[in-house]
Amino acid sequence: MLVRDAMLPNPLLVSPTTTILDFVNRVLDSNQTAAVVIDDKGALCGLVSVHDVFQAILPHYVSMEDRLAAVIHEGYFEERATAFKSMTVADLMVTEVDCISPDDAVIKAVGLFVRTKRKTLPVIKDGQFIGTITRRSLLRKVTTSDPVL
Amino acid sequence: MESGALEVSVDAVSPALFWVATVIFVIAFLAIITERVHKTKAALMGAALMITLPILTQAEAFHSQQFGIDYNVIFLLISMMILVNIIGRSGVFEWAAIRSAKLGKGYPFRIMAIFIAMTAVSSAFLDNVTTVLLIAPVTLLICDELEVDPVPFLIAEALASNVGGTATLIGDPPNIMVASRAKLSFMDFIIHLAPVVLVLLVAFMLGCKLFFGGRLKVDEKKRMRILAMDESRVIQDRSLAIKSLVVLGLVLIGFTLHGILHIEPATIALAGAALLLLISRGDPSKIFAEIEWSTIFFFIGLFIMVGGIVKVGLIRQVSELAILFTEPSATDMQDLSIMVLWCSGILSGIIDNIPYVATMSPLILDTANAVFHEGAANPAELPIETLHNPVLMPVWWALALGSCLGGNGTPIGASANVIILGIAERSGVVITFLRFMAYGVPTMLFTLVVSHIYIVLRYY
Repeated sequence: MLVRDAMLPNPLLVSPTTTILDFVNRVLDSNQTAAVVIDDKGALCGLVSVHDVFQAILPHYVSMEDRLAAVIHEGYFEERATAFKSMTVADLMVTEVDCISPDDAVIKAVGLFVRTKRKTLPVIKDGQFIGTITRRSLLRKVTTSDPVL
Repeated sequence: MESGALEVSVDAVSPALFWVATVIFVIAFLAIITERVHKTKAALMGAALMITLPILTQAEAFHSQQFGIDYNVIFLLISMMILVNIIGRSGVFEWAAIRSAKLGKGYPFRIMAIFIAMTAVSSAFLDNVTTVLLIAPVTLLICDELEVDPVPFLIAEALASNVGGTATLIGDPPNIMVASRAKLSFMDFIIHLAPVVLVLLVAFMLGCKLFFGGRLKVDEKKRMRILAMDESRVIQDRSLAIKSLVVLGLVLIGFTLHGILHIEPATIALAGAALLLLISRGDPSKIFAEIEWSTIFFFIGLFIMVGGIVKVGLIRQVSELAILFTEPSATDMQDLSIMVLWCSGILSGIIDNIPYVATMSPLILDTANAVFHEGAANPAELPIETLHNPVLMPVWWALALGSCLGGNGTPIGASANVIILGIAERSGVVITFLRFMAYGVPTMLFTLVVSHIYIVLRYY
C-alpha cells in the first residue's frame, strides 16, 4: 500500500495568520488534532497541533519540575489560555516538518509515526502540498487491509 | 602494586618524548578551550595518546599518585552527584525555596536577596550546576507569579553560585582539586575562604540592591499569590525528603570532622551516597544514569594528560619561569600569590577553570619543591609541612579564589552560567552575552580586588 492510498480525505488546513482560537475551534469541530499550515500560494509553511498549544500554555519551569504545578495560583490556566487565544498560528507552528511522498510505501509513514511524536505528515509531490496522512487515516487502513496475493 | 615501583625520574625522559607530550597537551588544551571538539573527547584522546605513545605507562596513568588519575576527586564528584540527585528528587529544595520566598513577604528584592543567600549556601555544599538547576525553576515560578522580569534574578543566582561555591572544599571542582593536591582539609577552606566569601556575598547583595532594587515593584495582589502558596504540596515523598536531609547532614558533619577522623572527603561522600541509595526506594540505575559521566571522564582524561606533562618535566620548566618572574622565596611569596590570583581570575573567565587548575596545581607543587629546596623526585609527595607552609598557603588560596571567582566574568566562564542562560532561553527569555557580562565583569573584578586585599592583609 502506498501513502496516496491512506491519505486523509479532508485534511485540516490553516494559514499562518489564523488565530489560535480559530484553530482550536476547528480542531474541536473535527476529529483531527493537527493542521497543516499553508500560505496564500498553497506552499507548505509548517504544522500546528494541539500539542503545540499545550506546550505554549505550559510554563517551562513546570516542564522542568512538574511538582511546581501544585503551587501555581488558581486561574493561571485561564489567564494563559486567554493570552494565547489572540496569537496566530505563525507564533506556534513547527516549521521543521517531516514530509512524505504519495508514492512512498505506507510502512515509511508507520516508521515516522513511531520515531516522532507527530500525528500528522504532510504529503508533498514535486514540492507542492497535496494532502496529509495521519495516524487515524493509517489506522483505518489496518482494519480494512487484506494480504496482497 | 606498590607506589614506589612507579617512581620515575623526570630527568630520565628523552627530549623527543618531552616534545611529543607537550604537543599532545597543547593541541588537546586548545581543542578544549576553543570548543572545537567536545572537551571530554579531547581530554580522553589526549590521555590515550599519553599512554600509547608512551609518555606514561598504564600503571602510572591508572595507579600513580604522581602522574595518574586523582581518585579523591573522581569519587567525591560521583558520590556528591548521587547524593544531590536523590535529594533533588525529594522536592525538599523547592519546598525550602518557596518557604523562603514567603519569608520575604512576596517583596521581589527581599526574595532575590534570600535566593542569592540560598544559592550561595547551597553552592558551598552542593555543586553549582545542581544548585542553579534546582533554584532556577522556582525562581521562574516566583517571577511568573509576581509578573516581574526573571533575568536579574537568574543572573544574580548564577553569580552567587560561583561566589558561594568558593567557600568550601566541595563547593567547586577547582577547590576539590586544590584540596587533593595540597592535602587541605574541609575546615582549612572554611577558615581561610569562607570569611572572604561572606564579605563578598554581603557586598554582592548590596550591589544587586543598587542595580535592581528600584526596578522590582509589584502590587499587593501579586504578593498575596506568593503568600498563598502551600509549599508542602511540592514534597511528594516526605519519607525520602527526611532521609535525604539526615544523610546530607551526616555527610556535612563528616566533612567538617574528616581531619580528626582521618577519613578523606571522597570516602565520606561515598559512604553517604551508598547509605542514601540503600535507604531510598529508587532504582539505582536511574540515579546512575543522571550522573554527569561526561564531566567525570573529562577529569579522568585531564589527570592523565597533565600527568604526562608533569612526567616529561614541562611543568617543572614553567614553574622555573614563574620563579624567575615573581622571585618567590622561602619567606615571601606575595608576588606569586597575587600573580596566581589575577591570572587565575582572568583566565577562568575565558577558559574552563578545571583544566586550568589541573595544570596549575602541579606547577605550584613544583615551585614549592624548588623554593623550599626539598629536591623531591616526586613533588606530589612533598611533606605536609611544606605543602602547608604558611608562606605557601596563600598561593593555594589565591588559586582557589581566582579560579572560582573568575568564572563570573563571562557566560562561558562557569558551568552554572551556561546552565542559567540555557534555562532562560528555553523559558523565552534571552540573556545575551553582553547583558550577562554587564553584571558579570564588574562582579568578577570587584570580587578579585577584595580577594587581593584579603590575601595581602591576612597573610602578608
